[in-house]
Amino acid sequence: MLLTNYKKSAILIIAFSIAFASCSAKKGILHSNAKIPVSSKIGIIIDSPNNLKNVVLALFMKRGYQVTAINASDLYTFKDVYDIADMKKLSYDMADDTVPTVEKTYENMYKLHIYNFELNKIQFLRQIRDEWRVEYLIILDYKDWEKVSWARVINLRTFEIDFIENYPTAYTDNIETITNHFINGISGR
Amino acid sequence: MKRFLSIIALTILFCVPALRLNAAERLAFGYFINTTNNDEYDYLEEVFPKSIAGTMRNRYNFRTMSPHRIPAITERYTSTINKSEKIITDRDLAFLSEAFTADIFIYGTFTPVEKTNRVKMKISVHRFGSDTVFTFEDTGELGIEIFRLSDRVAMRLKNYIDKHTAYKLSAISKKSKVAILSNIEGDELNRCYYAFMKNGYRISPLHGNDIYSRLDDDSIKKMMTIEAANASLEFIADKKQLQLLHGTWSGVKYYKELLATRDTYNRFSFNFRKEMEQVLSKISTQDKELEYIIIIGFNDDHDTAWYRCIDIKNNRLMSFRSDIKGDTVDEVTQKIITDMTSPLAVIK
Repeated sequence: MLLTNYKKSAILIIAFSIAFASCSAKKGILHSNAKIPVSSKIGIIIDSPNNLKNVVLALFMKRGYQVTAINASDLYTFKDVYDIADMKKLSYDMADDTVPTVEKTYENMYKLHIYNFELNKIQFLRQIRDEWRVEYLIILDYKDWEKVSWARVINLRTFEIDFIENYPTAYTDNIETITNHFINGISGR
Repeated sequence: MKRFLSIIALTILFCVPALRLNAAERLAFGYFINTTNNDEYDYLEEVFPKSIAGTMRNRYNFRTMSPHRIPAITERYTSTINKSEKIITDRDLAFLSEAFTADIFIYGTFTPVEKTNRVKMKISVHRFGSDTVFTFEDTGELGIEIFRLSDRVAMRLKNYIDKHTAYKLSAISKKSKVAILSNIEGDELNRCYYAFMKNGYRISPLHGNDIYSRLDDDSIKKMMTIEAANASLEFIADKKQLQLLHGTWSGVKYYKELLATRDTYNRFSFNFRKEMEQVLSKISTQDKELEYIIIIGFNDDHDTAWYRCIDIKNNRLMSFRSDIKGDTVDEVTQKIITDMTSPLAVIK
């Protein structure tokens, strides 16, 4: 009898711990350094089909934002910066041995291209700001119920992240309700 | 029976210290070579390693071997009067690993700073059997302050050699602007940013200006090695490992390709620090307020991480640490922030 009671308690504790751990990963977070004024010119990045993208853009425009749509896939091309010419030069065979010097060379090559890729992106963001006069870049990702949708706002004048939010998608949410939720947080309304 | 139990208890009592010593890693020290021709400072070539070895043994319970106790090291040291030939290079490590028994080999050089009473030390740490060498610099006063320098070097060695694999130059400034490169993305990256923003840091959009991360759980490991102005954790590099065969049979075209291959190795292996300085300088020009790039590599479960913190304006490695555990990304990130902002101290 006593053992059964202990077993029940143990099962309850384990179940509670698992639920707590998974809950804490899915809890919402929000941090805002500054409100984004509704008259601002914004660029929006979302990786969604065009019909859903239009819904999102329309909601921002309805609130007064001047919207520029940017395709996530066109924004940055990793291959443009990853110069494989250097890799080709090293393609001779060292049998099965990967000597540390060769390993170091390959790793450093990859490292440098990561940094050059990030540099390329920063330069592109400057171009968006200088040529298209975009003031803020808003990155949105929509997830289904039981997952977490998120938003991030980059201030292109200061080159800082001004706003972040993780929003656990509710059962009754759709793309409109989530977008309106984010707009409320971003605009401070 | 009582007598038997007493004997057992006494045996265990005497064995524990011995077991503890057996478990401690064995550190072998080489001479720290004077890089100048001023032989007034040559006495430090033995003083530095002996002093650091003493601290490692007495304060941190490591087993140590000073250079004069290692025949292979002493023979190398006494067989030449040429300073540059006394300096241990990456090429020598394979031979030395077979010449004597130790877990870790510590060696280095020092340079007295002209017209001052200061000396700059460069210390290298190599775990026999591994492919990497950790090297860092430290500067201190000569005279009676020399032991303070040795103690600080010993503290850094202890933090690195221990399971934490940690290093710290100094704490990073609070409320500075940082950029984070990581293999996490989306809502998890937001969590990481949240921890920094709560602590007053300003976040650069570097890496976070995209929905997806180009660094995955495997490729982030390539960012573990690092080469900065004051410290490096890098693969052993030796030109002799590369077989760039050529001769009178080569032909012009082959020789041209060979030179291009050699230049690639020089650029990415032997002179990589210059490449890094150039790219960091370009990034710094794009974002003048950016102070640090922090590389955070999470494991597959995203509950353990390592980090590297680089001062982008001077290409200085500020700190790094491995095996930082937590239940969530925010918890791990908070521990990283705590580590980066606390002063240099022994990690228990």
